[in-house]
Amino acid sequence: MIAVRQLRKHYGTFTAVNGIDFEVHPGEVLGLVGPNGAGKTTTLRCLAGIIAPSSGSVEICGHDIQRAGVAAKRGLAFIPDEPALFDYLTVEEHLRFIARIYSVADAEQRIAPLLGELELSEKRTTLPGELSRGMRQKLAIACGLLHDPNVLVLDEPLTGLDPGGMRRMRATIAARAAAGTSVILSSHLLTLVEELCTKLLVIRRGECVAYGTLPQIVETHPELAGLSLEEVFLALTGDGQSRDLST
Amino acid sequence: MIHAFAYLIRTSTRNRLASQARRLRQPVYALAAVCGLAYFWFVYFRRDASGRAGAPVFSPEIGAFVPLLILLYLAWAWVFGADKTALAFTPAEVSFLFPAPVTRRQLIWFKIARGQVQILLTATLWVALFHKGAETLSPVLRVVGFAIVLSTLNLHRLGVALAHSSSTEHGWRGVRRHALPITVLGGIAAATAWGLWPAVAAAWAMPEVRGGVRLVSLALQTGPVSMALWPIRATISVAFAANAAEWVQALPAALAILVANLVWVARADHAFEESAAEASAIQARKLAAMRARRSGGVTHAVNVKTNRTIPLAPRGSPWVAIVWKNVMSLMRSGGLWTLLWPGVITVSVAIGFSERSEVTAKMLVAFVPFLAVMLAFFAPMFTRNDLRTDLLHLPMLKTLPLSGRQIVLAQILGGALPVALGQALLVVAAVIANGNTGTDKAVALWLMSGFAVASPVVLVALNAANFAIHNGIALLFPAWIRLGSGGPGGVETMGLGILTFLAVAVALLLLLIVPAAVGAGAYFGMGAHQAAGLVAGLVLGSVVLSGELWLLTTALGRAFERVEPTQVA
Repeated sequence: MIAVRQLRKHYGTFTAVNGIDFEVHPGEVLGLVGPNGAGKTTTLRCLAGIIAPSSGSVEICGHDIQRAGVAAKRGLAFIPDEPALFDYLTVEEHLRFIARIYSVADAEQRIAPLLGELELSEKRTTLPGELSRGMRQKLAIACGLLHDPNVLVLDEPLTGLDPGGMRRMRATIAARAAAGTSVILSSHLLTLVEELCTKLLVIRRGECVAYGTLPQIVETHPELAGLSLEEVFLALTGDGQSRDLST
Repeated sequence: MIHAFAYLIRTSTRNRLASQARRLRQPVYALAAVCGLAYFWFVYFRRDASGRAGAPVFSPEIGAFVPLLILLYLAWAWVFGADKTALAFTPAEVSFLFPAPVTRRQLIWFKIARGQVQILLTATLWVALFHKGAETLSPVLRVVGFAIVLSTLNLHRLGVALAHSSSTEHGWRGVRRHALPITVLGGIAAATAWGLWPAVAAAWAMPEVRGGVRLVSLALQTGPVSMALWPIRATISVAFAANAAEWVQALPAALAILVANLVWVARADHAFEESAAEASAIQARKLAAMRARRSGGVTHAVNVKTNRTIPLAPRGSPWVAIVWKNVMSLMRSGGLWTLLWPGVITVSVAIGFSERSEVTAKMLVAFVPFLAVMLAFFAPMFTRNDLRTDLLHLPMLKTLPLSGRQIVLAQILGGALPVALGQALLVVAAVIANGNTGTDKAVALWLMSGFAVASPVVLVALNAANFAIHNGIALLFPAWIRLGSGGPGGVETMGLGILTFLAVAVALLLLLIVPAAVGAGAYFGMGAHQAAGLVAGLVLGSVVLSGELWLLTTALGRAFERVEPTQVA
């Protein structure tokens, strides 16, 4: 479970995130959408404990990420858009490293099926420098899933994956949510968001402009009734330029 | 094209300096800058104010060895390959310039020009650091002199790297393209070795070291060795000139050698481009891999053997995983062997020869402490398998369920333990050799055995302190230091290395004051029990040092928790 209250993040005089509130319960998938520079990555980084909020609170599985960071992070996995891997650890060693960090007792039983699921079995002894971009992304995903997290935070998870990989990743996210994981998914692929997310958080210039299920959002913005998600997104984020350009 | 390159260098330098200056708004950076400026004020202006005549940097006796050391450096580069970063371009340069309509020769000219900014900075730092008393040569001329020397060495290093690339691709044909510089340097090396050998042999037989040094120094300054080393001496004369007249006199020869290297590199580039065009499909693949390596490390691990590993149990203290990761990284990058081979060789020599030759045993006992100290100071410079590399993975590290202190401690131990292991091997060698020095031991038995017993604790504590300072600098000033194991190296970045070295040495001395006092107290407190006193003193001192480290890692852990990815960029 994720609970975010009045989250704010300032960089000097610039406000990247300004008073965002939301909750993600077990089994829910929250789609975090917004135009470039809206504050999505900053929000996700605050959630994952990478950066400290200027004010407000983030609770992961009942633990405040600032005051009880270690306990909060034990149940969390953050999968970034740009995989950060260690140059001199092989694929399998990355998983062993993660297993020790998260004390995964049955790591041996989990590693082989996970590598198989992500089509990395043949790359077990390969270093990241020899992997393609997509393979590196798959390895980052495998590291995130190994300890069976209660909270899954994904920033553009399909970047670099081939169509087969994308399909499997979508199925994995859905399966994890069905098993009770709280998922936050940030993506510009609105079809992915539409397919997987049970509710949406639309942010613009660091502020929440819509939050809830799509019907709930339409209820509070009746003018959006009957529009596609893409049109809803463009209307909410005030990005009229795209439509102007197309006309 | 020249205008575009000039624009890139000018704006990048300006923006980088502006960005670093903006960091001064942060108190920690401002404090460091004040300390640095105060240091320069003391070593530079205060000495000038004293009005004393400046002594030369080296005495003539020691100064005669400088050309020999440079020759050894160049010979090493030719035999074992120049630093691979000599050919490195940044990822952005690869991305924008390699596909651009730019010839390879233009690219190399760009690389040389870009290096001049660093060289000028390094030359200024050198002149400031080695400034002695009231100089008789203007600092501007001194900086220009050092810049010429560094540029020449940098060009030669680039040429060697190109020659090695050429020989890798084309074998003997590639070597032939560099026949002239190989002949010149080979000739200098052969003439020097031939001319110096009698003096070295005579010095070896002399009873005292000082007399031997004087003899070799004399040989370096006279006869065929002096003539052979002339090109190197002519290059460095411009940097060490005593006054303006000497500087002007030295300038033409130094410039001529600089230009000769420049011409060689330009011609080497021509051969390089030509070779690329001739490449077969296999050679083309090699070239592609080589080009990728230039991008700064994406494929540098390709040839690493991954079959050797260290097991890691899935249960246990999680932070041990970071120590394991860093040792694995050191093992696979070849750094572990670099740390261990002095110990392995000295132990082998101690076992194999010291029993038969007392001279060998005595030499080993004298040489081993020097090696151990060198390892302590220089190992952290090249084994950067700690926060100096991992800060590039800061977002990932911060998501791990570990406290900041645990992460910092693991990073420190990941570097300190392998170095301590290397030094422990040296201690073993010293103990074996000392045992073979006859009845009149080179080092008293109580002293050697006392140190050997305490060494595991002492070595770990001392190296942990050393690495803690290096990691602390990286954590507190991430924007001012080079992160990662790759990046630009060589003579043009020596200035930053010297500054870091000085900062570490000062911090380490401060950290050792209390442990040394406590250790000395324990030693003298034990009275006549010298061996027990030594062990007690060393162990107690190490315990106190460990206590200081505990406080330091706690503070650095908090700093780690506060640091954000934008501060590291």
